[in-house]
Amino acid sequence: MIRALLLAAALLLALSAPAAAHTVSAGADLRLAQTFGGAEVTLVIKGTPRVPGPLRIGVIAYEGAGLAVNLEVRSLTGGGTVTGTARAAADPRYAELRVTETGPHELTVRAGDEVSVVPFRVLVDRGSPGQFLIYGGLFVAAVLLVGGLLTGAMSRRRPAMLLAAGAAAGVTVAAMVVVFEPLVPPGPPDGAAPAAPAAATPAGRPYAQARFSTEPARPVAGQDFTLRVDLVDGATGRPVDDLVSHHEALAHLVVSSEDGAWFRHAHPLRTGPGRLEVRLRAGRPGRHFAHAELEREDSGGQLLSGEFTVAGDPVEASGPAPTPVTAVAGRPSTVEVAADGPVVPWLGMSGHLIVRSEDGTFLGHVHEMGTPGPRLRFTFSFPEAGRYLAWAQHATTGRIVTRPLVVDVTEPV
Amino acid sequence: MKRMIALAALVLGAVVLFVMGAALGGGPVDVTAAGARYTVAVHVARPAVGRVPVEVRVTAGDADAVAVSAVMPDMGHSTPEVTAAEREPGLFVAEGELFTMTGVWDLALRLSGPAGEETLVTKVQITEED
Repeated sequence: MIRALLLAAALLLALSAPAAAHTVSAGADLRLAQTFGGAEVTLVIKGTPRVPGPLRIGVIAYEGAGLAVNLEVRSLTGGGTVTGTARAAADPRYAELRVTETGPHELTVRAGDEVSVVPFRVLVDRGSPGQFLIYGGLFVAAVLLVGGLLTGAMSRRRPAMLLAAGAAAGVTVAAMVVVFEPLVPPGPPDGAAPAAPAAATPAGRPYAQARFSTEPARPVAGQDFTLRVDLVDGATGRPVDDLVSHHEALAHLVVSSEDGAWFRHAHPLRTGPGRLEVRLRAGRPGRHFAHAELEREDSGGQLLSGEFTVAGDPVEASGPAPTPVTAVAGRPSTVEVAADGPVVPWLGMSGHLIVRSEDGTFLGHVHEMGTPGPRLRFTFSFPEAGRYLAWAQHATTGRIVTRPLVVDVTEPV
Repeated sequence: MKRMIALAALVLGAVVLFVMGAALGGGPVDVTAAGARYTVAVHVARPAVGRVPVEVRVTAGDADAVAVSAVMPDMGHSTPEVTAAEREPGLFVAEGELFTMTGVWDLALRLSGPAGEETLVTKVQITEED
């Protein structure tokens, strides 16, 4: 008996594995960070409890409050389109669009001349068949019991017995379902993608390859350029178009000049299958590194890197001098930074520390671990001795604060 | 009376088998995909491994040609593109070795016509072994 229960529990766990991200259902919103016009905003699509039903979309501004966006939601099965507008704000008003079907949809967000196309799925929970049996069983029992009592009162024994037996059966069915329903795996919600049994799914999809390019091919300091990442599946050569929300973004793109004086942590826009783009303004000439952190469906996170060169003369005044920090290789080292203003959670965390080796071959992304008070604390084990560049980031009212650090890591003695 | 009970049990058994059979799949797959230029209804009568026909009915847009290919993203499998034959206006049938194993496949439909080329991708679950 215990073995059967354990088996049922294991089956339940296996089948209720988290569905692909990028789904919106009642109570499960989709949040995606996006960089529009150099400003950090987070797009929120709230789930709907039913179709046809409302789909609420808002844009939270961490920077660039007031940004106006046009929204267009298109069903990828029916082709129906609805539009709306929204304005980015720290506490935004949600635009209410109407969806008429479940399944795959595409949200197109236009801000100025920038466009982002976000695929997502509308899921609506189906009523459980167990509930039907519970209420049905109880209803039948109640009707038969009353019938049985009346028949009994009129002293017709045989029909009374039959009705009472029916009532007992109804109660038994309802009680059995109440006990066993939690052990039965729930069916997929309406609109879910077909899924293979968990046991048949290998752990992780093939690796993605990235090609980094810029438009124009040689950006000039002081001028806008587009950094493009084309993602290709290493096993099939097809565009990688199954990115899931990884720390609230399709991709975290870290772009830094070789000397570390210019740094951006941006969230590129999906402009087509396998294509991510972000508009940036270069600050200094020379070699730049780009690192993209992303996650494919049913897979773990991965890091892809590339580089490009900026022409022209330096235009951006150097920011604050990096704070020197020391650490010992291979040991957990803690870096503390004072917060600049009240800390607002951003990308699901209160603080982020991006660590890069001087030569750009190593990149780490560390999260703040809930330090009380106006301080951010990060713990990281630097893999080997040498000099690292680091940037501690947090959001506060209306802006993202970035503090550069330089970490000298020594060999353990 | 006994005969009635036996009959009721038989009917109940048949219903349970039917419901389980339907739940476990094996039936045809019907999906629709809407792009910016074309909308299609895809019918896979037998979602099986091996040589199977895939029917693509173009329900919106004017497509001259349809080519079908499949990718299993979980495994990294990719099968050759099959050019669909136009059986009647708007109805294209591609028959080929599109699926090499059971599981969820991304079916890519490359449509071309006066409006241009567009690739629509939809998911199908292949449930039957060859």
